[in-house]
Amino acid sequence: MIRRHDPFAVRRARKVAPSTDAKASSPNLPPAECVVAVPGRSEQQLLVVAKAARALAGEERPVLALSSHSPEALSAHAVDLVVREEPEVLPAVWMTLCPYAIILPEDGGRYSDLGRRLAVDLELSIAVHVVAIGAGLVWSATNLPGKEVVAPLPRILLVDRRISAPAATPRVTREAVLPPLCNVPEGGPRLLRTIEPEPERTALPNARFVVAAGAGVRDLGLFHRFVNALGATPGASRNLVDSGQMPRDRQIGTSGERIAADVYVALGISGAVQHLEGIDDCQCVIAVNTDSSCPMAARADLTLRCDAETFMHRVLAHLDRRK
Amino acid sequence: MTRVLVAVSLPCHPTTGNRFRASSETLALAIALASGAEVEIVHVSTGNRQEDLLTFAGFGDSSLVWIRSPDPASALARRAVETNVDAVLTGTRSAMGLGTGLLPYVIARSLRWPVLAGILEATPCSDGWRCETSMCHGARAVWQTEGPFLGTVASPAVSPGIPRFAASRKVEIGVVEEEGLDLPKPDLTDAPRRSVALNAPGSPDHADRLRTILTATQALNSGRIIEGNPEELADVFLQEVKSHGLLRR
Repeated sequence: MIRRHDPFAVRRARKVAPSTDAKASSPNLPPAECVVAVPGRSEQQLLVVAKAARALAGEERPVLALSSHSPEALSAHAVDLVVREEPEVLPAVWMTLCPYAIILPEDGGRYSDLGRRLAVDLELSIAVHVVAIGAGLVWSATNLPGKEVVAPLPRILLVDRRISAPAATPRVTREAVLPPLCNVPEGGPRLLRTIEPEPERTALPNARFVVAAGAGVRDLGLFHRFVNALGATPGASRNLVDSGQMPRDRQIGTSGERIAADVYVALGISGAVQHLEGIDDCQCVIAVNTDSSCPMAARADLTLRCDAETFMHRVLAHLDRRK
Repeated sequence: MTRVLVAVSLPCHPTTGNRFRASSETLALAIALASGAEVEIVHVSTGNRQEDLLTFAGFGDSSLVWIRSPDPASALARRAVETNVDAVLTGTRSAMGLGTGLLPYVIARSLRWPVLAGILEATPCSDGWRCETSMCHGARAVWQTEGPFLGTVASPAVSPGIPRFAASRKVEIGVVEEEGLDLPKPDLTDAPRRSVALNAPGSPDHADRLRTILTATQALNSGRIIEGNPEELADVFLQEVKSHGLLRR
């Protein structure tokens, strides 16, 4: 079977004939004309990919997801079938099932790489940064602001998070199994090891959990203890960066980094518009501020009205008690 | 001596003149220089402006090769073979083909080299290269490759600390003309300073984006606001963070 997290499986898989013996014998196999969706790991990627897949599949084709999400979560996004496999099996899936199309999120990382690799190595048509699908055409965003390219429907679609598609009606999601796909011979670069994320070293756009300090935080030693205790990546408002208390690469906002964290905690940050632009893609924003009428509180999903430093002391005490 | 070819694109759009940050290419250059290898900077285009290429001349190297060709993938693959390089590093989204990001994969396919995406560090060693690549959410992978490889660099993934900007300086540009092409002569004189249009006419500018955010913010106001003693608030906070599966313990 194909090794997990092996991007070189694409090149090797094309050299091996697909196994079709199991295809005829198992009743749980997905149909050949399905749309294969790879929804990524985050909720936002699931939403984007599922929307695109249903828009493409219509009512006549089933949507098959290669995903670790629960069937309930996929059911809400109108996915018909789910297979518990890593996306690296896609080349073998393509050669075995020959699906109608494969949809991946344009995440600038693992999935973007996999989609392009698949297209070039298997000589399949591809559309990247897809922002709309309809009438046998796809619209792709370009480097030029406001300009899009229209193309006939390709076999691989990398969908942008801005994609516009109607919401689909929920349906029952069934588990499916794939046939034994193909044997993968050894060769190419070897994966020696993987290194766990180090929140302190993680670049802000890549971080999943960001805690940022603003003018309401005066004790930065306490702030760093708080960030370390939570296992988060530190960030800062422009105020602290300009005063030299935090490095420039930790600045969040228009003139700093744009972040797309799962959870963003703003400690003593009132929320200038430039800062709010930088956190536009965050899924959950928690504001800690004494002023609950500030712009950050309007943006936040949860606002805790209290002094940021007192709050940090209390949370650290809670975490110490839990040890 | 190990040799690395760094492929760079124009940090401005060839038609509109819109500048954009070619940060992934400058990072590719920084990573190549940090590896200690001999670096050759190569740009392929049919344009005739050279001043924008000076962005890449501030990292300590003083020469770059400008191949005038309409087919960047073939020209770069040919150059890699001719100069017998051990690796090619490039950004992820060049200006070619409206930025589809397919160029590195096409070059690698014609060279029959493996592609390592999201390079953070590349170190030549006795048995080839040892490379560190980025995975999601700050995790990294270490790869060993025996032969040459093509690496792409994605700017958001690169750890803080690698220089992203440097001052432009005088650079010697070697022009390689492809045979059989009738292109206008390149202009290698220093261009006068000129004002730079940051946006195409009619495109959304910074003020538009801020207006959108303000409108969205005013329309939101749907979050919960909780007051109380800090003990209770700390408890609420930890519950919320835990619900996203982010707390270590």
